[in-house]
Amino acid sequence: MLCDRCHENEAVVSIVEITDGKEQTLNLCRECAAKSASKGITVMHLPGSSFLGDILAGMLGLDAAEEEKEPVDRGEDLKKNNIVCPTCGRTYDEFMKYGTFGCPDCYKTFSFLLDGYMKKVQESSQHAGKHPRFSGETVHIPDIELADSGKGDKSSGQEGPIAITVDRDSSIEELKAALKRAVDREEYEDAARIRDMIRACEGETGNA
Amino acid sequence: MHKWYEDRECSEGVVIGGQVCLVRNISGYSFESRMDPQDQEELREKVFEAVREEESRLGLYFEERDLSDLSGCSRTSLIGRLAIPPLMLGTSEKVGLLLTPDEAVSILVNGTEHICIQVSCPGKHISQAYETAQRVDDALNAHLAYAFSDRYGYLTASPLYTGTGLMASYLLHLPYLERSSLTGTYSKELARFGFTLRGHFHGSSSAPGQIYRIKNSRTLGMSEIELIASLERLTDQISSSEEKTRSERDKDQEEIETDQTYRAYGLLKYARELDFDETLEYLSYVRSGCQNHIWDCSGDMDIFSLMIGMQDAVLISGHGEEEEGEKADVRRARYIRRLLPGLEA
Repeated sequence: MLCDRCHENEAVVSIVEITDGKEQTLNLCRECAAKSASKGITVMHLPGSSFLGDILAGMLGLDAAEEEKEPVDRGEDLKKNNIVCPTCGRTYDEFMKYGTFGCPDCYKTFSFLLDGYMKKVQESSQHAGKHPRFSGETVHIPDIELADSGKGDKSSGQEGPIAITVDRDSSIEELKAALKRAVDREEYEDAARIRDMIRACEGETGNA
Repeated sequence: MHKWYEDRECSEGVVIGGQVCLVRNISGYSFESRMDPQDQEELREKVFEAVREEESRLGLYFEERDLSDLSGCSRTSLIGRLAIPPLMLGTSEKVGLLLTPDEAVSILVNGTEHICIQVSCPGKHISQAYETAQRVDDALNAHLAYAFSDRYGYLTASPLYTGTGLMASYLLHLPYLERSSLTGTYSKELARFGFTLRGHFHGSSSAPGQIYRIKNSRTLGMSEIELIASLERLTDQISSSEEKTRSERDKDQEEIETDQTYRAYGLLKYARELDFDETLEYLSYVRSGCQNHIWDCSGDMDIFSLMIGMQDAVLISGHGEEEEGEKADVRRARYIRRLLPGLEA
């Protein structure tokens, strides 16, 4: 069936829009669905269409389209678009297009957007169920902390705030790599924090 | 071999049966879309080997099923017989399937995710199905580490399965709720709890045969026990509502339905051509005939298994009904005529 808005593309999504307290069901193509600015939106996947992930990714894009883009944000966007999973090569664009991950490490690579994404798709971002009986965690996703930069006036601020992507449970190798990155960027506060984490780690294992 | 959906419990009451799926991926491999065929084959061999080693401990014995036929008929037949969840079947040539003879337990390898364990049960016993699925899950885990994060749980290619990786559903027969136009209302209410209610068969109406599936839509943020408990609770509510709507029919309505039920039976028993939608409609009446005590349901009235068996692909591959150049509707009518039990008028 054709889209109710543009009457050109194939409808893939059924949307219930609430305008002036009245409900209206519209069958829309992906482009028109993305343009739809309604807040009270219920999206249903039409039978026979594909790429449910496409629609979900489009929903995430929905909110981004509504926000005003600041110059700093555009810098962040460029960074996002250049992100590639080192293990399988999946890019941010591919993820938004297909709505699927390429490998378990993608969860780490794209961790900066996962909390928000999971809350949209699943209404939660924390696992509360079973752990594997005979094996443990195979991909550690650290908590993302935004470093309190206070450096908005520095020229390097165009890169946006720098996130620490390691935490106490990260491996020594990851911590050392993060320390090097922080030092290279002259983020000495972050470097000091990571150095303390390394010391705590080495203290536990009794290594010098 | 008696299949799980041929069990008597599938033909009694509102709840036909339940299915539990566990989605898992093995650590050390990319997800399916990024795997090359050698890795897929290697993964399949590892999973099959793990299963072989655990069979006697599990008390479950699997047969390998060939999914390589190009026409896709055997795949469609397996989906029609509820052995494979349709959304989990991808396009890989290296797909593998292990199936118990009664088709109640299946392990799909190299579908859209590495592994999909499915356990089916007749009647309202999803907790038992889940227990079996857990045992298979643990048995595989003893040999293979799963991709898992403390934060997001079992890691899957599609974020729709991340977390518990658990999809639990019941198949329901809801003729009275549908006739009272209440299924739409329930569907909306269930969405608030993270469940969907959709027609199971795909035909010209939204729910041919008034067969529905209630299933969770979220897999992250709750425990497996909570999820199953919610499913049971919501299914109880729908089931009670269906029974209540049925019992509130007045006498005129009852008489009309009795007539319709017998007419449906007559058409099924004597028609020479039956199309998909009308067959399901008549079978739905005949199944209701049991609940309404129009006729006796002892043993023979195996209606749900007829609903499964009358699907085109299942007819051809499962029952040896195929004759050269024959129309599907003729084949279906002959199948129904042969298997529909006789009635004392």
